[in-house]
Amino acid sequence: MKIVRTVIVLLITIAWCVFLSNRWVIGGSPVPPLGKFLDPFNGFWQNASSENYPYSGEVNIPELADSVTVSYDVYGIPHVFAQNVPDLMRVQGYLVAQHRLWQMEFQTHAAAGRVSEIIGPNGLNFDRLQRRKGMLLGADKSMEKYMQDPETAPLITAYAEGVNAYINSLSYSDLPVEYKLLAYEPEAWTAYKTALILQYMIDELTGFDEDLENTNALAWLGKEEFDFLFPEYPQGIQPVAPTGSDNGWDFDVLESPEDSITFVSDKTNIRMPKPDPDNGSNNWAVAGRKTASGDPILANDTHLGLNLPSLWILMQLKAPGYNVLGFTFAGQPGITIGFNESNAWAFTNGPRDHRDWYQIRFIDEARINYAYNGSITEAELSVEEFEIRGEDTFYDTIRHTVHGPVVYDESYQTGNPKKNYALRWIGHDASMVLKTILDLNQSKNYDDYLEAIQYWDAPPQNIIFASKNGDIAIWNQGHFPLKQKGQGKFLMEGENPANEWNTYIPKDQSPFQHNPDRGYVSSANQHSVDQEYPYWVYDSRYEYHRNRVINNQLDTMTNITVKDMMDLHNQSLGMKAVDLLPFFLATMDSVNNVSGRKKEVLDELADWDMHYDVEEVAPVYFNMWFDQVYRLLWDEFIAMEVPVAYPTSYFTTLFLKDTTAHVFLQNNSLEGTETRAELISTALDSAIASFDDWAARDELDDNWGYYKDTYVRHLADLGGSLAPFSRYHVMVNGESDAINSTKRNHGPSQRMVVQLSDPPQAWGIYPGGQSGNPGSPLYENMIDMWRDGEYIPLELMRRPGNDQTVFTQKFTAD
Amino acid sequence: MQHFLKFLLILILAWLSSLIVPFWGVAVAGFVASLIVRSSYLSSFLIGFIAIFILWGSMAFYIDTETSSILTDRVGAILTVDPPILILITALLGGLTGGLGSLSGSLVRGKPPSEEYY
Repeated sequence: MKIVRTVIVLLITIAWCVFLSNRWVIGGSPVPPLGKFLDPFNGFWQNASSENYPYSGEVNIPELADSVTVSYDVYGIPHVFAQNVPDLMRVQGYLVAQHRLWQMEFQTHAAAGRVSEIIGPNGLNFDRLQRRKGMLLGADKSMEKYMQDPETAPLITAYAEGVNAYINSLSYSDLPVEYKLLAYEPEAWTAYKTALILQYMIDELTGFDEDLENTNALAWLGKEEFDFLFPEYPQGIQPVAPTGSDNGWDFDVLESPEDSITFVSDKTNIRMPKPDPDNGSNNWAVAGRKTASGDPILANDTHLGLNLPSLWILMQLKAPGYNVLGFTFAGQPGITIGFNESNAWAFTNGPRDHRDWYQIRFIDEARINYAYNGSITEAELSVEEFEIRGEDTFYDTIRHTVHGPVVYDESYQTGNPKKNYALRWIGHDASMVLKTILDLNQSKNYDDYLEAIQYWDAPPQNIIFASKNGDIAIWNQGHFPLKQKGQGKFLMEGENPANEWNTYIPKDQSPFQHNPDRGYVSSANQHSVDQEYPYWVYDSRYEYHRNRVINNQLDTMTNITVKDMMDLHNQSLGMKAVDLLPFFLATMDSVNNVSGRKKEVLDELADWDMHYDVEEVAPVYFNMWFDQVYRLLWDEFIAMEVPVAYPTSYFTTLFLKDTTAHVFLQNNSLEGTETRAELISTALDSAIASFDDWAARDELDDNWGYYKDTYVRHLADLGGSLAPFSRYHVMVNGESDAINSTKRNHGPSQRMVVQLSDPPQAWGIYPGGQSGNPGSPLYENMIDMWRDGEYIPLELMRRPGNDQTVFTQKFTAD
Repeated sequence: MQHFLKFLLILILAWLSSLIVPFWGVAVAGFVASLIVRSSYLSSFLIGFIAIFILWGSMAFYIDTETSSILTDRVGAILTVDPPILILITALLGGLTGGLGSLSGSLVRGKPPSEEYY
């Protein structure tokens, strides 16, 4: 009896401990291993910190050739002082891991389609698409090329050694809190993971296309109407590198065949997940003759999803002959956006259609042999393995054609053995962008910059440059396939080899501006060139608003100071409103019987200075009004049962102003709405109704700030699941058509201004904090400063341990 | 006195165990202490419970205060409890684990002889 009782209690005790040691999924929600997680000696409590730098002062990295000192300034920026460049990268790897280990690994898992290993079956669809679209094809090829490059290979390897030194130093108690919460552990870091991080950015910045939507729209509208509604060069655009006295494109133009592209008319019902179409950026550089100090000034801000831990981390790297400071991606050696003693550089996305789709006609039921070039070709099959947490491993067969992998087919989304679509994506090719970045880090002048950017592949970027010797420049650089007019704008026939990408435009023929007459260079994801450029250049989504605000301002500005550039960064003037609101108001003047609430709203709008400021109500009215106009005007598009491309808001503006009679002005859903004025007036009624609905929903102020309700989302916060690790309700000015492009969860992910004096003076900010630990005072400490348009100084520290140093780490080999 | 010794022993063993093994070390601490110091089943459970309740509760309270609830606020919000409740849950969870370990130990060891008469 006593033995039985003893055994039962022992078993209960053991069961209790096992229960608390494991992660459970209860009612669909994962519960962390509560015992391990709540243990105050090893669990999440140990991640809480009252110190900014709860780090070890003395660190060993076995591979170090020499000792390295790191001085942290009051803003939490580590300044790394090494004796040689590989040691710099070792310590950089260690430091980034020390601040951001969970994030850097999670992003590589996302890039590689391995999220289901962590979050379970909910991640499978995402993972399958990552593998199907060929994320690994590109990362593999880039990796191979990096490892063959005698300059990059040792540095990418050294970086991995540093990351692993950190990972190896960890016990459970030291793990970032996300590992404890999600109950898994970091694996070893590899050079390949750096290639994955870069692949992730390639996808973010080239992952948008509308080929299938265009194909559906073309079939519906016919060519003439399609070309009218989707002009490749709408009037009033200002390209990054306009043809002119600065740039005559006098090079030997490669010939491309004409009219050999064959499209297919095939209705598709695929709804592809896409990166935010506003992924992009601003950058500009002004020549010394336009500035107060006489030195060039460079400014940039990159618009991406607003996340915690932030995409960026700030750091200085200094070794003999090497001295660079700026923003870098967690997981990538070197400084991506920044400056050294001579130069500053930054990027904006230079959009081009870099994803083309091919219809594949398989001729057998097993879908192995497909028609190509008048005969039959065999597809290569690969089987992808997906480990799923809590479930059996899933296997997915991917068919690879001459064009690329078949992404959408019977087993993924089309459900029809006859509907097979292969993707050719620039992300399938090797990209050597890291070599450019590492070379820019050491560049001394324009020639060095020019040489460095010869290695720049995908994603296509407007690489802006300013030098202390007075040069300013911008190159729209990338790995550009030479396309026939129209190639890849619609779904193409997979059987015709003429539809493939064959040759690439030589990199010295890319569009650029170097010390142009106007005294500045700028870009904001608009068209890179006008139609005079000798090659056909296309993208389905260019930027049409911010670029004009920037140019309008820089055209007239003189005696420019750093402060002026910061003010410009934070300007919230909405170009869409500038284009359209006066027209809307004038139109309403012609409408009879406007009174009461409608009159009140119009008065409010007439008084508005067209800045999207948080305390204003007018931007909410305008936003809703435009939205309703857009819906009423293009209601036939909304009613389509297959996904179709929509006219851009810029084209909508042109259309509304210039067109008085068109089939789309005759509204189907609203009887009696026959004219443009009626449409605009009806839209205002609907806008006011939705405004009143929204205003009645809560007690909060009815203004732009609460309407937009910007938040910075923790990477694992899906639909509020980890909301306390995110920062919600950030009252910040701006909108996507303003220079301060902050939307709800998207906007300037960093800002930098560099004055190229000797030494350069620089300022920067980003909406996050240096630490990725939600339990650190430096987790989100810069969000409020970012919101308020403030900056921190980015100073090239000359020697370790000066008076700005608040914490020091010493790194040795043993 | 016996009880207090046992209490101290559990505290020390639990603290030492936290340096090398996960949270279940506190159950082992209670178990080992009960093998060494005999007491009734109920007292064993209570001493183990109270020792770890105090150890975990005070450690959690100390961290929470020291860090101005920087992480307790966030984790508490995820689990939809306030920081004081989170400290209490932590202490209770530890207490139960320690108590169960201690009770198991005393069942293996057996009651003190004096209690056999009652």
